[in-house]
Amino acid sequence: MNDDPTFIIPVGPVHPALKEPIQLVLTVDGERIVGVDVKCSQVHRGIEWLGMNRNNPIQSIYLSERVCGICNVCHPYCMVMAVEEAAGIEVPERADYIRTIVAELERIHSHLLWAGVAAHEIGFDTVFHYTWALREEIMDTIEYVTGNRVTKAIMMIGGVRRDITTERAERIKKATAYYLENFQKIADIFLHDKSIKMRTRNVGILTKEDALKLCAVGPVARASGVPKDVRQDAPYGAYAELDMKAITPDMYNGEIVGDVYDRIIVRLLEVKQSVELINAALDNMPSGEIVAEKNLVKLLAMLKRADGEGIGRVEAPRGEDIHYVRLEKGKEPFMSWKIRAPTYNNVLPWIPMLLGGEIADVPIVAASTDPCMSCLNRVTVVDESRNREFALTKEMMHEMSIRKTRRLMRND
Amino acid sequence: MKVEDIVNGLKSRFECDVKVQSRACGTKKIEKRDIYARLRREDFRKAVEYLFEIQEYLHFSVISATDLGNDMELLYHFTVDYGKRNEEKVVTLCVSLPKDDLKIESITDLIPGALISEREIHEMVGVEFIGLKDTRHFFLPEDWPEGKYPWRRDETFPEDMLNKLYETWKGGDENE
Repeated sequence: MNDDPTFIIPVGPVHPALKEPIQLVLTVDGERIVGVDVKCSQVHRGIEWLGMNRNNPIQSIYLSERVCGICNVCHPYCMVMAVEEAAGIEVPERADYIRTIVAELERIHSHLLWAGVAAHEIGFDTVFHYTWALREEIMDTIEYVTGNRVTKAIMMIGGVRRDITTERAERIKKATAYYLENFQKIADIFLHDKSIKMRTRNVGILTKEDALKLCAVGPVARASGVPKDVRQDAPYGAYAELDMKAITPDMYNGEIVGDVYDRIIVRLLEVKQSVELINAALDNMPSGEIVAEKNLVKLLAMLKRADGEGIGRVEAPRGEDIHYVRLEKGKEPFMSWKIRAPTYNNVLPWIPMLLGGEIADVPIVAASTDPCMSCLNRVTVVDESRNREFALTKEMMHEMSIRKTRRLMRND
Repeated sequence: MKVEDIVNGLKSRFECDVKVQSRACGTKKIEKRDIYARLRREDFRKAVEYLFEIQEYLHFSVISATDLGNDMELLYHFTVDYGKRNEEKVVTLCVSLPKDDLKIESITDLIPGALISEREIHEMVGVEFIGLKDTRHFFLPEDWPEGKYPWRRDETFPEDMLNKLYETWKGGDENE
């Protein structure tokens, strides 16, 4: 018989809160979490290897689009920027604006998707359905503008593949007006509802110092008071000349706690910011070409002759995304390709966020970083001292989370 | 801090080859400028410490690796001056390591956020990070064969596992 009062709970690889596989190994003492370890070996698909050994650079654009279903603009965006820099290709001004608009449309859909998931995690399914119903407008707009709801296939080395015509611009304007009209409603639900506040205030706190030390990025870092946003910090696309400032929670209520609630504030305000950026970009969009080289055979030949390296950085909905590409003269595939998605940096901050918390808070805390990895099914609880194992299903964990919400509401 | 100051700072302190790459964007052609410094291995740690003089909490993005044949080149991408409009720069410190001596000091004591990246390079390329406490696999499975490195272009690349990874799994179903 072991006297150690702690238990080990592996959460995942199919995870309670996330829609993608990752494993959290939690050591718990009763309900309190006292140790956290993360394992990510479930879905490494070797995308970089394919780009370095099998694909030509144009094929790699479509491959990079499939790094992530949600961020299917920012990965190819990063990659084409890195290739353009390595090969010395100049992008037409209009293409910079179109890229910016498409990237912002993606941010709106991604943040609303996240808000819905977060509501579901705390057992508030009415809000989940309401948010996702609102999200349909942006999905329809994306389909109208790019031809597809999900993989938009709009990026090309040296520009974009499709123009934003007057009709498409009008459709986007209709969608931005719709969100400005409905923004207050979503903000009211998420920021003033009592049960959401109870489950998210002072939960999963990440201090500013931890955010900086662990190199957190995106809304997670900003919610902890680090004003870091690639759109504001480094010039790319049309952002350098549009009005852009990193959003921190103190802009809304004058204080920074760094908890789940602050992450909600940051993402909601960013939806509004994206709407404003899209409107400004549409109003200031220059006319002209949309791609530097239309002939793909010529483009490939040019890339084959190129020799150099480049870095592409984009603020994805989840934070800084960076690609490094090196081209070697005489060879089609990349000599070197490194992709670093924002969640890569936002995994380590889970440890201070979860330490000291409760098991029922795991789904919402993990979901609050908006990890981009896909659907939880069950969790195995290992009771070390009694040497037995039992499975904790997603439904049970979800139920625990709902019970906690109800308990808090009764006590209030 | 200006790009030129960082370049001069690096050049005056270390024996290194520094390159600045720029790219303009939008209608106003505002430039983004990235710094690449190719250093000797023994100066690397001091160069990171120098970057800390520019930025109290240096932001670390990731480590990239390139197989150069006899050497592996590691590229550490850092950024400085975040939070200032259009002022942030990527500073990439590049170090070439001979393949028969793939060792470099860990920076996880200076930047705890570099842990995942060092573990990734350790398993994918086979670099030993001196001082790295946690050397378990992060992206590769726990039973990955020793001495096989998927990101290298030499005999250590697991050619026999290509396109038939499932056959190499231990404990698979024998009847399949």
